[in-house]
Amino acid sequence: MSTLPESVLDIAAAVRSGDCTASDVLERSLSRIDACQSDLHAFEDTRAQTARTMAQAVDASIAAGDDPGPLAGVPIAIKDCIAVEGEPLTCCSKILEGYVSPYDATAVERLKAAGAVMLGRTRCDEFAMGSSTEYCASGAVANPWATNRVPGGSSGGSAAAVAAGCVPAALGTDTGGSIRQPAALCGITGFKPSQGRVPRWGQVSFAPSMDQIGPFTHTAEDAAAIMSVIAGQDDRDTTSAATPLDTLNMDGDLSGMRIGIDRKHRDNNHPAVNEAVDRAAKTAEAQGAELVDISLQATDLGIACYYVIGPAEASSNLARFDGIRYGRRAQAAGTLNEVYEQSRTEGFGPEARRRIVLGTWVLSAGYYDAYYTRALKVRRLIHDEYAAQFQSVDLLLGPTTPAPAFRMGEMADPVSMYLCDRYTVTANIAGICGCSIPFGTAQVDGDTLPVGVQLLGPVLGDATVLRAAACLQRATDHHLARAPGFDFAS
Amino acid sequence: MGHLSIEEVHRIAALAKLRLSDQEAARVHSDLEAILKHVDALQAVDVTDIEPMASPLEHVNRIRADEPSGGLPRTTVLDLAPATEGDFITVPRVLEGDGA
Repeated sequence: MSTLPESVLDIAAAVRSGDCTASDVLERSLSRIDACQSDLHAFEDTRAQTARTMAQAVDASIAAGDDPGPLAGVPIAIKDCIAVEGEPLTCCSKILEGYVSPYDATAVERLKAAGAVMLGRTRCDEFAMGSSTEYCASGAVANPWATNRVPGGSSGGSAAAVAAGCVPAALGTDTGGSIRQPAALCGITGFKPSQGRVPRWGQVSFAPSMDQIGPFTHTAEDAAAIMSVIAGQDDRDTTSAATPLDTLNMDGDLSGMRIGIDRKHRDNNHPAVNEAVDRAAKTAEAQGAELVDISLQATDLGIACYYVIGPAEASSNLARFDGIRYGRRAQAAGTLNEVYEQSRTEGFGPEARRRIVLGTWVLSAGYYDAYYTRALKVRRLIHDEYAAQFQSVDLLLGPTTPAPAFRMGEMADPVSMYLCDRYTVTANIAGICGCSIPFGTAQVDGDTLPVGVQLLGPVLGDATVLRAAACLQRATDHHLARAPGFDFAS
Repeated sequence: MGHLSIEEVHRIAALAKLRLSDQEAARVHSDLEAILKHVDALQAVDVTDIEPMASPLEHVNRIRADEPSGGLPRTTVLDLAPATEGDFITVPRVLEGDGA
C-alpha cells in the first residue's frame, strides 16, 4: 500500500487484511512525532522501543494467520496519568519523578489485547488539574492550530497529538471536561463516557466520583471503535458499571430523536461558538431530529459545586503521595514529618497545592457541612435535573466551551480558568456521558481556530451519543478540517 | 467578609503536609477567597430534605470472596521505594527528640 490509512478503523482494517504492516504505521507516527515535538511538546516520551516490539508482535501474528484483534496495529498515545506496565508514569508531576508503573491500567490492558500499539506518553496538567496544559512540570503543550495558544486541558498532549496527526487516537481522562474541552480547542472528537463505563483501575485518581478515561479521535466512529474495546466492568474497580455497552451501531439518521437545547447557554460565548451550535442544530434537524427548547437551572451551579467536590476528593486522593513508598522523597528532610512536608511541598506544583489546600479546608471541622455536604446536595439537584430532562429528550446539544483556544498565559487567575469549563463539569457531577465534535472555525486575532459542540446523553446512554455524533459527522465535513501547519495527510 | 485568614491557610496547609512560604500563602489565600466567593452561590440554594450524593453511581456495595489474590512481587514494590534496607522501606526516626 503506497499511502497508509489515517483513521483507527481504516488502519485496523488494512493491518488485519495485510494491506500494510503495523510496523509501517508505527514508523510513520514516530516520524510525525519527531516532526511536531519541538513545536507542540505533546509528548513526555514516545516509548518507541516498547511500541516497536508491540507492532512487530502484531505483524508476526498476522503472518502466522492469527487474529491480533479489532484494533490491530493502531498506534494509541496515552495520557501520563494512565498506567502502562514498565513505563514511566508521573502525572506530569515532580512528585512522581522516576516512578515506573508495575502494571497496566484496565483500559491499556484491553487495548493491548485488541492489538493496539501503545505509543507515547502525553503531557497533561499536573494530576489532570487544569484547562490549559500549562501546569505541567516539564513544560506547556501548544495548540497545533496556533502554537502560541493552549490546546486546552488537562489532556492537552493527547488532544494535540491527535489533532496534529501524530497518532489516530489517544486516551485522556475527563474529570470536569479534560477530554471534551481540549478536543474542542484542537478541532477533534473527544468522548467522555458515563461514570463507571471504563474501569478506573490504573488511572491515577484525582476525583474518583467524576474521573473517566475516554478516547480522542478525529471521528465519532473511531471513538466508538475504541470504546467498544475499553468499556466494561472490571472487578478491580468496584465502581465500574455492570451494564454492558449497547451494540455500537453507528448507522442511520436521527429520525425520532428529540434533542434539547438550552438557549441560556448562548450568553457570553464567542459568536462563533453560538454559530457552531446553530449549525449543528440545523444539521440534526435535517437528519430527522426534533429540536426542543429546554431550560436548565441547577446546572448553573456546576462550577460552584465542582470546585468543592473536586478539590475535596483530590486532597484526599493526593494524600498517598508522601515520599515514603514511591516517588520523590526530599533529601534534606530530617524527621518523618519533614519528609512528608518537604516531599509534598517540593513535589506538587502550584495548582495541585492550591486545590489540596482548598479541598482540605472544605473538609475540615466547621466547614464540612457548610461546603462539602451542601455541594453534594446540590450535586443531587443537578443529577435529578438532567435525569428529568432525559425523560423527555434523548440528547442535549450545546457548546463545549464558551470560546476557542486562548493564548498561553492569558488565564492568569484561577476562577477565569475554571469558568472555561462551565459547560462540561456538570456531566461529571451527574455522571452522564458527553461528546465534543468540531463544528466549524472562528477567526480570533488573525488565527483560525476550531470550535466544538457538545452532545450530552443520559447515564449509560453512550451508544446514543456516539451514534448521533457520527450522524452529524456523516452529514458535514467539519471533522475533516486539519490544523494548517500539521496536515500530513494532504 | 473573608472566608478564611492567612493563618488558617497556613494551618490547613500543615494539615495537608504542605509548607507554604508567606508569599505563597498570601497568593493561595487571595485565590481561595476568589474561588469561595464563586462557591458562595451554593449557600443560596434551598437544599431542605435533599440527600447528599457522594457519587452519581450510588452502587450497592460489591463484595468479593474473602480469599487472598495476587499482589505485586515484593521486589517490584521495593524497587519503587526511595529508600530501603533489606526487605523494608526505611523512613527517618518516627519519634522526635534525643535518645528516644
